[in-house]
Amino acid sequence: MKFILNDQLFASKKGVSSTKNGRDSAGRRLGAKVADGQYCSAGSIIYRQRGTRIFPGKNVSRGGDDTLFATADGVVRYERLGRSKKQVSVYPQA
Amino acid sequence: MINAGVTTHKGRILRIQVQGHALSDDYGKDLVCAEVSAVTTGLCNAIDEAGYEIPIKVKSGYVSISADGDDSHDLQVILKTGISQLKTIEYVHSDFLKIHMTEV
Repeated sequence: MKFILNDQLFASKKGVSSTKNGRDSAGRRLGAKVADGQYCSAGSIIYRQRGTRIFPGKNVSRGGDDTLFATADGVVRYERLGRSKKQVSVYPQA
Repeated sequence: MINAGVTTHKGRILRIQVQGHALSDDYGKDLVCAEVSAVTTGLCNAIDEAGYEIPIKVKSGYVSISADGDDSHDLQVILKTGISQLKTIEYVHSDFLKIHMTEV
């Protein structure tokens, strides 16, 4: 047999295949909403997060989706909590 | 899309040139490509086994058969059989195979 059959002789090159990926959800816009040293009023959101990247400190509470919000008017302070954790507090202005 | 060009003169087939990629599916699953590959490779072997020494080129995505130097009736029968097989594929896979007949 002189000509050996290659049954993909007229196929496109190897590796040309579709992917099943290519989907992604919209960004959740997490992170700080009030910066350190900024003034905020009671009830305003300070930090959006999933889980407790930052813990609630003084005059700050955690919502159902782990959002941190102020419970008093005052200035926002991001502080260390122990060796490796952070917390955010609101200090009423004198 | 695979393009099959057939050049004829007064009904005699002078040249057959098949080239392109079917792209009907991924590599290894491309049925149209497999059909055209089998027909064209079989045609080349039929010509060779019948003893005709005419220029034949076979490479990836390309087959060319030049019969203009040989007037044999049997060779024409072999070539027309090959074209008829290609037309059979084109009939159901016209999106991936196109045969162009050119009279010169």
